[in-house]
Amino acid sequence: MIKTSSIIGEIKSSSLKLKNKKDLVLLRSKYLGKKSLLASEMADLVKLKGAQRAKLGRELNTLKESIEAVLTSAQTRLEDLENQTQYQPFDISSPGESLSSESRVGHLHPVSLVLKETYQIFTELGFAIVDSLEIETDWYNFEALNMPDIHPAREMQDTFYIKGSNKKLLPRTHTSGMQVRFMLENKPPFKIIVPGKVFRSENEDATHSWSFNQIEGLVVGEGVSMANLKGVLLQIVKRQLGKETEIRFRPSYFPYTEPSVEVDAKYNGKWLELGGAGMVHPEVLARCGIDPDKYSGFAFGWGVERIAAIKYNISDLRQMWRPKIEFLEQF
Amino acid sequence: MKISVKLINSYLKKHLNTGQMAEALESTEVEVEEILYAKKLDSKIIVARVLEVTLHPNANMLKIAKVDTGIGVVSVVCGATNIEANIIVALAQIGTILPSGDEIKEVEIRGERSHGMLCSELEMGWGEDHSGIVVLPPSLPLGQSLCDIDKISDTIDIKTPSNRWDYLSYIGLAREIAATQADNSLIEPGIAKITYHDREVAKVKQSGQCHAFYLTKLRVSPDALSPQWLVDNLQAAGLRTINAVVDITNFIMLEYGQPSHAYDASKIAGDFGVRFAKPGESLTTLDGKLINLSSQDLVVVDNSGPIGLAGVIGGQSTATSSDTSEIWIEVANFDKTTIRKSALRYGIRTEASSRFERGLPLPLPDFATRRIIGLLQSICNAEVIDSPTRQVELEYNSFKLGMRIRKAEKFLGFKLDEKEVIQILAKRGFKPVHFSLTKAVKALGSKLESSASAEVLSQLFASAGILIGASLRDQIKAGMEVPDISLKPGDVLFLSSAVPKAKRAPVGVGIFIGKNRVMNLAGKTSIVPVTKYTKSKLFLGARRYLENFNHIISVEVPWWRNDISIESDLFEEVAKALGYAAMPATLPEIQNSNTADHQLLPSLMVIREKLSSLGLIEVMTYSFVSKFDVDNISSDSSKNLQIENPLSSEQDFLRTSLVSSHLRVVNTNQTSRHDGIFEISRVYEHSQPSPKEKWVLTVSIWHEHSLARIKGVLDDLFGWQRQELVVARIVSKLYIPNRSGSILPSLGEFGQLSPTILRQYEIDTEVAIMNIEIQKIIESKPEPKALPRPTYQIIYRDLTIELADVTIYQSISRLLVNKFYSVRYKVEFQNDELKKSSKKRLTITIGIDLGPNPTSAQINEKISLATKLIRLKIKARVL
Repeated sequence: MIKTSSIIGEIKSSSLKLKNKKDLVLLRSKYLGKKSLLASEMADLVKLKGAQRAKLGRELNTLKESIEAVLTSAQTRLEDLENQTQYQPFDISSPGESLSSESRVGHLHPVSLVLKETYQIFTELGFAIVDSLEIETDWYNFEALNMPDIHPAREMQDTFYIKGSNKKLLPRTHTSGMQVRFMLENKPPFKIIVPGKVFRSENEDATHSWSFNQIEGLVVGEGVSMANLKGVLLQIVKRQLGKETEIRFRPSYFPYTEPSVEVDAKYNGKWLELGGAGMVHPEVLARCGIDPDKYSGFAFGWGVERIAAIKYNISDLRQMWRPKIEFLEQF
Repeated sequence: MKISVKLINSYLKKHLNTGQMAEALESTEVEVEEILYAKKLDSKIIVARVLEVTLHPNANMLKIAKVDTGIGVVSVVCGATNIEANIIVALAQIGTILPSGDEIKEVEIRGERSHGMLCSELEMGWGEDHSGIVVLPPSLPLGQSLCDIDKISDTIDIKTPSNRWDYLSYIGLAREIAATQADNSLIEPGIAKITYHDREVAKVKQSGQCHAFYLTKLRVSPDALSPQWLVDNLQAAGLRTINAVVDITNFIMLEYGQPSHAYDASKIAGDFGVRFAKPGESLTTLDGKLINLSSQDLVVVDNSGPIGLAGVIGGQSTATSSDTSEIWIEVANFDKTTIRKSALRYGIRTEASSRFERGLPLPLPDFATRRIIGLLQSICNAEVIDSPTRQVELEYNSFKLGMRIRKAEKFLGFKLDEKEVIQILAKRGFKPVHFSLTKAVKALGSKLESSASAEVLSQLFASAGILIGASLRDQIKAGMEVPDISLKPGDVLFLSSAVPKAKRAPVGVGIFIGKNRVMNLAGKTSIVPVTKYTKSKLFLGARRYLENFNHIISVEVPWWRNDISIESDLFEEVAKALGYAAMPATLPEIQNSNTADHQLLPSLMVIREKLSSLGLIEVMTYSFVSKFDVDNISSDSSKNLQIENPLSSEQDFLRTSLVSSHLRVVNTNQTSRHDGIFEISRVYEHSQPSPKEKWVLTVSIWHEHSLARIKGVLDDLFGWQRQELVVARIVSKLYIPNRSGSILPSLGEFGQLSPTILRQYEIDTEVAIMNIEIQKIIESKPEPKALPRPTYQIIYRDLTIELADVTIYQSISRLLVNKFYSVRYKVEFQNDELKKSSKKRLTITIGIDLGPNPTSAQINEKISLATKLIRLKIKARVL
């Protein structure tokens, strides 16, 4: 009996070495021609009876189909190669065609529009805009933020893990891990925002996306108060959502801030949930080598897509991640 | 979690309406998700009694019931299997509008008239049960309208934070609601005191796992039924009634937040124990599931082996039943992490485990045991056999925190009044008192009898809100050094040991109390002149831990608030009580120490704006890609990081390139008027010890001239960044040969995509793409440098060169650039004849700088130099 898998492997690797159509014809006759192994097995079929014959017959047919499939894809590849040699060489150092001559209007993504505005406002308030990594260690993402291994608060964030890392590496679930990285490397005072992508292992719907952008804020210095947190957030929402916008704090719980609040903004007469905020937990400060008795700080975080959705009346967040030009042209 | 407004009100002195309650909850950490207003029942639904039940003559599944409505007898067709004579039922009379909106009409069912309908729980809007009709308590008067029987209540769907065990109990919620209202208070159920025998009932071997284990053996009457209030109460929380004993334990869990378990005493073999499971042990749970236990599972055992997965679920073999006459009630305090891990391990998140995993306080089992015994006595005629026993590993010790009012003001930004703060905390069950240094120092004497001086000192400062360390050695390191002449009350003075070997380790300590006196702390207190310290050879110095002892309150934390552990927890209590609405909004006055290192993201934004100004559309695509994408696009798939737990096969890998994502975008936008997109995103690569991340700019252009237009964008980009673009041909499976290039030094690549790739993504038009490591280009952006203005004319001459069509202009320009003032590309030409021999013609313009007075001989000499160089190095002919 012939070994199907080894034959397929064999023909696949020979098919990749083909240079032209003549080679292909030879390959075809070797595996499907009158003198091929397959043909002789087919011929032997008549000697068998009943169920045995039917079974082998089916197997041989499957094999034949698989061989055909490999040959077809090889043929396509060869045709492509032939087509490609018809392409004229292109002088890659010659001056290109300028798009500006087409005088078309380009568009920034709504998330970029919000970010651009956000950078501007925070820069005016003296904040630095800090870059960060999107793959984070479990320690920065959770442990250093008072969420050890089994902490129930971890459930607020469904986590993807990187295979083979023993759950030690993950596409970050929030930008807050950067608080710790930054505080370990910088001495207060500082005012920063950290924008960036985050990932949650959640099913998508119109208001939830498994991948979204967050803005993290962190201010640490002597005498930084929770009233300062309210002041900064109020400035931002007034600038970003309009002068009449109000904010409110609702008590909440995050393991890495104390006190913790949820922040809502009143926009067009409706209270909308913006994100979480609070005063940096003294244990987190101390872990980063910052004396919690001398310094205090606040942190906040919210989703950029949420702001874009509110501002630009986008009803389904998924539209921002599945680009359709008709949608993007509106911004 | 859904809570019944009526139920919570039963624990409040002053009842609240649903809106008020939701508002009170909103001012705590509890999140109100939804308010569900109960629909008032139609008054036509009345109490009735079934007189007799006969089979429907024409339908096997139906019965005909004669029911007594108090004023008459009607006949109703009914399909419920639980119908029988003499039960009390809810009759929806003709004309009733059910909560669902359906109207009950007089109908004929298979030839029999039905004068109304007997209702199920679901039809009444009382619950989800539709398996049978509601059976009402016999005490209700026949004919009474059920809308007058106030059974249903509005419910509030809430989400509670994981640090508050008490929010998973009626009492806890009511306590917090009461605290938000000046004129309200919690009403706790009355419970009798009981005396426990401290006995090693459960042989707990592992310390730290089972902090308390209370056991009570009781005789109960087997036929006791749960009273209606208890059934309703459980129902409101979505629990089913099982039997009176189990119902009581479940109710206590809802009321107090303490789970407990009832065992049938006749099924218990020998002594109780708590230990980790042994290899090979298994347990059949109450709901009949067999679990093979892990050695990290804490189990309750008797002599036969495990009889319950501690804190999660009980075992089937020892469960109570309708003929149980003797029971054991277990009320325990288990380690929260162990319980959580076991619950996660088997995916059994029970009401019990979700409470244990928040960490229950030590005094709770006592309250719960007393309440359970009380209810068992009144409902099941229970008698305690012997006396309740307990085994306690950890005793509860109350603890104190100091709160500095001035610090709180600075921290919160509120103006605070000490009296008001004391009132706020007291209302919430804390015991706050003004901290007086004099009093605290005076009290030290008695404390020194049982504790070392370092410990006494540490407690004193802790009650003022300062942690100074547990040993004198730590304490001398912690404070601020104070010179002798500026000592203030509260400063601590240290003396070293007289033993030379001790190397000046602190052993003696005293507190400065003013007027040149020190309270010496050595076994007992004594007041000595300060010079006893300062003039001593052994004096190590004085330390100050607090500048100001005014406006400090010392706060004893109530036992139920095990979430409070630090001073800022108290700040939060005060802030919540004052209300965040009253908090001022001010801007921080600090300045940033460094912004220079953080220009990358704003620079990327500038690039985005410039690219969009070229007419390109910015897109954002997912960072995770499928195996199909990796197979087609990745040059080395071992570099793609993989997701361990993707939600779909579209998310298996992290992308190393944006190309596959862009091809998907092109695929869905092939017919669009716009044909160019860009994206700036991070890509990820497997690497040791940690993954590598890069910022990548990808531009994709489709339709005619895609490659030339991509090159145009590339020229613009390098122009903006004032950088020279140097390219080299590459061979890649992505691109058509001789229509792609890399950008040196490893800054990226661009090219026209091969038809094979395009076919994979079902794209029918040509596509060119560029991938740039944008961070490298941004970070090496040079400052502009102006050239000196020429004072004479540069000579320009065109050269036309015939050369191999794969040779690029750059090889000529690089050859000539250092020898001439300038070299410029002018035009390229190819006709069929040239094509046949794989040739093309290229015209370039060279600028020649020969000073103010060039001669034609000098010019010709320069041109022949160029011609010669081209001929020798490029093997091409200058025409």
